[in-house]
Amino acid sequence: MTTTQPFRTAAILLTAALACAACSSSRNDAETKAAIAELETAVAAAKAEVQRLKDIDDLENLAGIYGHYVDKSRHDDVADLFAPNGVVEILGRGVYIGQDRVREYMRNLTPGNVGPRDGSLFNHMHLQPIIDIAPDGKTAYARSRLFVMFGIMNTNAQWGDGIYENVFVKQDGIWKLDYLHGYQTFYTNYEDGWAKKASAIFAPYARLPPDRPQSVPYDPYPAAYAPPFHYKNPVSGRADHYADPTWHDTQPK
Amino acid sequence: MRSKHFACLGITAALASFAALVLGQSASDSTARVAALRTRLANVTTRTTRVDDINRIENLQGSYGYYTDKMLWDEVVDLFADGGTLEIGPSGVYVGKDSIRKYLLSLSGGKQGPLPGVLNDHFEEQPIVTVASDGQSAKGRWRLMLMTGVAGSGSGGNWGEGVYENEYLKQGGVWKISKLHWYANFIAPYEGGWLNADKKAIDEYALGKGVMPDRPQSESYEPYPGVFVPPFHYKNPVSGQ
Repeated sequence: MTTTQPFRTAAILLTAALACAACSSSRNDAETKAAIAELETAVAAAKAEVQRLKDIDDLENLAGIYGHYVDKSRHDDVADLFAPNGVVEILGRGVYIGQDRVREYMRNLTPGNVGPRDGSLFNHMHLQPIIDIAPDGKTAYARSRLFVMFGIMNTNAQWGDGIYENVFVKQDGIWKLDYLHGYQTFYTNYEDGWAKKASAIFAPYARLPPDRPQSVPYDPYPAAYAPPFHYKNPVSGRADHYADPTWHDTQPK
Repeated sequence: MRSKHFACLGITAALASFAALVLGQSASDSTARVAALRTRLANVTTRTTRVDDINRIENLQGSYGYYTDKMLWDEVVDLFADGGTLEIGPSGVYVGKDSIRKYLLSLSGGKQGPLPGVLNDHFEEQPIVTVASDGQSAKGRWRLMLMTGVAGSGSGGNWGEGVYENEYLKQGGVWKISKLHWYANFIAPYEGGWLNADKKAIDEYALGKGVMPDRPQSESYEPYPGVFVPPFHYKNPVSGQ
């Protein structure tokens, strides 16, 4: 008894100490697990945000690349930027549906020729992009300004001005043009200037009729028209109510 | 005996504290690693927020241009913070949304929305946006290219160009314009272009019609062909000078 008692006491104390340590350890474990779970959620959110920011850069590049290819009449490169069901609608030309039709439309701009030609200037500057990505990260909308310098040496030079409201779709991780919609503000001869003589809206090509007529009928400058905005006012959050034709009736005459 | 007893208790205590130490150390080690990860993630989030801030400010100023194109003045005014200021070349300073609204409406005869024959294109280009370290304010330098005109006026229109040095505030998580300041460089008739730059054309473009600013022009300078460099809000990004 005298020999075993100290060991029994020691054993009890040891058990108690271990139990105590284990109990504090399991509390710590639970806290650590909760903290890790919280970190995992925060990392996933940060990763999604980084992806969204990267997408905006990719979309800016895609819109810019379109312009650079159009400059040089690289019609097949342009068509390749479109999704299989992609649509092009430019000015008064009408609507061409599907990548094959987009390719036909582009090639039709310079029949029988792909690539830059001597004496031809076809600069398409894409400026001032406002890009918004849908919450699912698969669809995006961009407004941008088109500024055109068009010319055929010793024949004709023009300024062009317009607005794009384009839609993009992400397929297999790659952003593609889903609906390219160009609104003409004006085309004018270099000699005249826009306020002296602006061209009427383009007509559909007789040699390549569109799949359907232009989706929004309007007259270009000098008529008054505001292409609809895909975005809400970034501060007030108010939707684009100018697209409603009755809005103009509410304005002071 | 007693010594043996105490020796036993001593060993027990040592074992117990060792156990507590081992288990406790691993717990505090994890806690430290979790805390370090939280800090690292917070740094990443600060940087994504900064990039998002720059995008939003670019969209804000881009929207200012698109709305101004079409003289959608209600939308333009909504982009400003309360107490925000607007100064366009020699216009003087308009302070607050009410003043800014009166000024803008005065430019288009009290009407808003696109008007037949009127071109008012404001290209907002080449942004240099710098967000303050607290992420609550920012400055932006931009280039404005103008294409304006009235159809049938006899002229082909006007070219215009100049630089903004603007300021922005983040309020309730939303970026707003707190100071819009455009330094006119030139406005010139289409015919002859900047060869015929005309200060009177700047006055005609910029001065309010029948409204007075709240403060006089904040800086006087000679537009083109005079020499003036609008002050840069930023240091040379490479030399730091």
